[in-house]
Amino acid sequence: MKMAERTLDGGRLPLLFIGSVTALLVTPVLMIVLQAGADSGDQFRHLASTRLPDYVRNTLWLALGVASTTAVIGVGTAWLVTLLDFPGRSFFRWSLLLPLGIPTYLAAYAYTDLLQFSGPVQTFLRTTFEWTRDDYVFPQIRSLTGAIAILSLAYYPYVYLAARAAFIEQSVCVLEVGKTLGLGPWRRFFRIALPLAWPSVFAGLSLVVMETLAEFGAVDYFAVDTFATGIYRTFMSPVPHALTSAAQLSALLLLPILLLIAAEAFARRRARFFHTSVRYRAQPPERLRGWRAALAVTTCAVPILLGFLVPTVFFVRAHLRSGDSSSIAAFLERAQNSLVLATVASVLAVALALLVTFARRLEPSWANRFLTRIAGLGYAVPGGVIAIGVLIPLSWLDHKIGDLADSWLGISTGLLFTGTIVAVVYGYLTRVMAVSLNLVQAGLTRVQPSLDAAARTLGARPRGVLRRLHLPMLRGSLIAAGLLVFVDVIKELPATMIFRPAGFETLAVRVHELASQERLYEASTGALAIIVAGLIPVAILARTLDRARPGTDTDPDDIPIGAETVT
Amino acid sequence: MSTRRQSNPGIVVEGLSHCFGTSQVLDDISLTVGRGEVCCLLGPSGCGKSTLLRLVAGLEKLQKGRIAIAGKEVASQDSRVPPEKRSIGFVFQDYALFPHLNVRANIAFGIISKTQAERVDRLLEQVDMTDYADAMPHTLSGGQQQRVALARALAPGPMAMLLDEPFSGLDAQLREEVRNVTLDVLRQANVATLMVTHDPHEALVVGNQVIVMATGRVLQMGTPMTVYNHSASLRIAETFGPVNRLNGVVHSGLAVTALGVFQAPTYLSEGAAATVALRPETIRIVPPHDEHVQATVETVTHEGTTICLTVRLPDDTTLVIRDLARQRVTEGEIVHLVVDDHAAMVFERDGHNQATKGVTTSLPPAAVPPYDPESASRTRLR
Repeated sequence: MKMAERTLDGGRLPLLFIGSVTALLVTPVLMIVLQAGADSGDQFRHLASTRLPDYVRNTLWLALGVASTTAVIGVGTAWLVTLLDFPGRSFFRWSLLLPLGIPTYLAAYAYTDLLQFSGPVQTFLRTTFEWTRDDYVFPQIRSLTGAIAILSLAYYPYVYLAARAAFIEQSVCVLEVGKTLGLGPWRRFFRIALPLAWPSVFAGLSLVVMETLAEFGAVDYFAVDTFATGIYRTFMSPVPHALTSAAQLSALLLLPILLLIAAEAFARRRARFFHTSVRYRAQPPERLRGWRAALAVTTCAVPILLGFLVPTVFFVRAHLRSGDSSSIAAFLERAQNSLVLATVASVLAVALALLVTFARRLEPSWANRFLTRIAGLGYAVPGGVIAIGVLIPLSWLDHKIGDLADSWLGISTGLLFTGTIVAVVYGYLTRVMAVSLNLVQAGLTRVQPSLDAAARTLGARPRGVLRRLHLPMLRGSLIAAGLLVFVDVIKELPATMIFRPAGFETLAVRVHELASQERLYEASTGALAIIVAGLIPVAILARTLDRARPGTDTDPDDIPIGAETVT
Repeated sequence: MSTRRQSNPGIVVEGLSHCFGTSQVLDDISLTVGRGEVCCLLGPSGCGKSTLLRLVAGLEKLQKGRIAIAGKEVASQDSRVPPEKRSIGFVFQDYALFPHLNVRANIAFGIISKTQAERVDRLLEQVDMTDYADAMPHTLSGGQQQRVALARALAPGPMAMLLDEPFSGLDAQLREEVRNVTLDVLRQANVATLMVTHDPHEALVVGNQVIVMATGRVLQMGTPMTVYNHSASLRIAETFGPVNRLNGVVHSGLAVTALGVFQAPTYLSEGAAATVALRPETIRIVPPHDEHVQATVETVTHEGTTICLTVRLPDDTTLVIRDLARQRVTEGEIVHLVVDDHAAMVFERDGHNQATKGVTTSLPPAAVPPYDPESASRTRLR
């Protein structure tokens, strides 16, 4: 009886494990805050008086513009495909997710080329109407407005997913009450459906804003100075105290992000409350005819057309016309680099997420719940910021180890961490752990606690519960989490650009460099590879969206991705 | 308690107390379940009965007290055996079948050695699920799932079985059938069974021993006969079925009522107001006799094998009587009544009201469980 355990399941082991993983993942963020306290001489004051007002203004307008545009597109299309019936409804239901597969920087390149003076659109206008350069004013895509448009087209699916999930879970009864009270369809939408869906929509919107704050590729290409690009530029600038100034900028950006996380958690709690209080009954969709149906089809088709079809077709054509001029071998090497990075990162992210959520389940104490929650903090932090946060402790370590090895053994170790992909993978993990954690956790909520208890009473040790029960039941979630992380890493740009060892190129980096050098047609090959990879998680999402509906029998094998779980 | 159980204890719980935050869900619970016995924990939801079960299973961390299974201590303040080493079988309210495994694999989950395939076959046969060995759990009906859960829990050959509302998910007709199968199987397995239920009828049918709980305390503990016929309080009496309440006053140790005099418990002093509780089936209509109380029949309801009458006593008290249907009684008729020996339960008058707050205040310590045949025999007619 002396081998009895101290607490329910592995003593202090769960707390220790969760604690160290979280510490590892949060360190970069903490480093930023610490470094921001260092002295940067006049550098930051200089920055504050010159560029900072621009950063604040642009970032603010960008976030507001993208949030309001995505809210309209996302909620509108979700309402249409969930509650109304029109031709192509079931097609739109999943295809509205497609723009999610296009990285914003790719859309930015494509539209810049299409809409520039010598591009096909303006050329077409000039030849058709026989205009000359001075006869018309064409909006400049490489502007704040252009960035808002591009980002909105890329990020509205987040709102769409959240709103759709909320509308689906709204019982038809609630809306029928509205009908009996004499509310027309518009007022039913604004007075009943939207207020009920608001907490979910808000969660989706906060995700959009976080992505917007972290956005690098497209705004950098459009030369719109935001915090994210400012951080990168400050870091790369050859001035003294560049690192500290970048850290100070990053710390400033962390404030609104923390607020957002808190607000989002709050909204989500409310959303959960709503869901449980509603008894679900399938909603028979209202059939639209004539011009109303045509309007609905147009409303759904335009975001897909602009957000997915145009950039994709553009890159396909560009690739067919010229493609990457570098050798196949070089392309394959870059693809291999991307692949290796993404595979390592996704395997690590999934394994860590599985173990962390399992440890949390063993000991769901307050501390463990809190620690798991902040482990995903890095997701909200722009890649460039994370990169700096990772660089600070790792370069310190590198130097310490180098000094030790030099003085004790008289050898030079070089840069063990910062000079290799270790730093890149660490940076990715900090960024993407939230994705895998949330997915695995969502999957785990579908494994009722009584199943664990049953396995334990049947003689399985905690390890056995993980192996014999959770692993097989979570297979779908784990694959989905792995794929999402994989794709996230494939298209990741700022962190890779800061960390990559000399001469190390990935598909995303190559595409961005070519595009920055106005060699868009050469970039198309890599861009297409990234788009194809990006479509994988969209396909998974689309598949599960129709399966995991409340009120239907869900197959335990299907993949539990819902609106909330993307966050 | 009885030496019979001490010599062959399956589950022993001593002085168990448990808190969730500031609310006390279990307060000094002690109980013993012998091998081959079924002990039913009865109480409303939130009375702590499920927590008690989870503590015995080791799914909850023990705070105060001691638990032993098959003579081995499994939990006390300073030591704790994890659930997988306690030799228990647990049947969950939602059955908790592993959705990714078929019926056979579910049952075999707890069997370590691969040579025990024939044990799985035997259990499948016992619960009549041989034809469904390869079925996946979600294709099974509630009753079938329950039987698989039972077989799975028994498969490793546990010393104690814990059942958490095992029949509550089934409809009435199926429930009886599944209950009979379950009892058969448990009896054959000769394990100590602790079962939680909120259905008083079920507790009476299934248990060798019934423990009535409320707000974390044991209100009464005894055989089904005891808790039914000699309830510790009016509230418990009413839990197990309807009773007639008669007002009475205590005179020289007897409660005097309109239906006669009944032995009052000793704690009721001379002149105390008493309530006499009588089950409808303990009042019988007999041939006319001078000593019997007369009553007027007000309504007659035929219920098949029984008839149910409401009668009015001379003092205007209304009684409900249930008797076999062989009686021919018509409305308005005057009938003569007698009460079965030992059938009356006599309580302090306000007992019912106080019982809702906490029975200990309405009952003196001597009358509180554990059930004592001495005090029960005092509560009898004349």
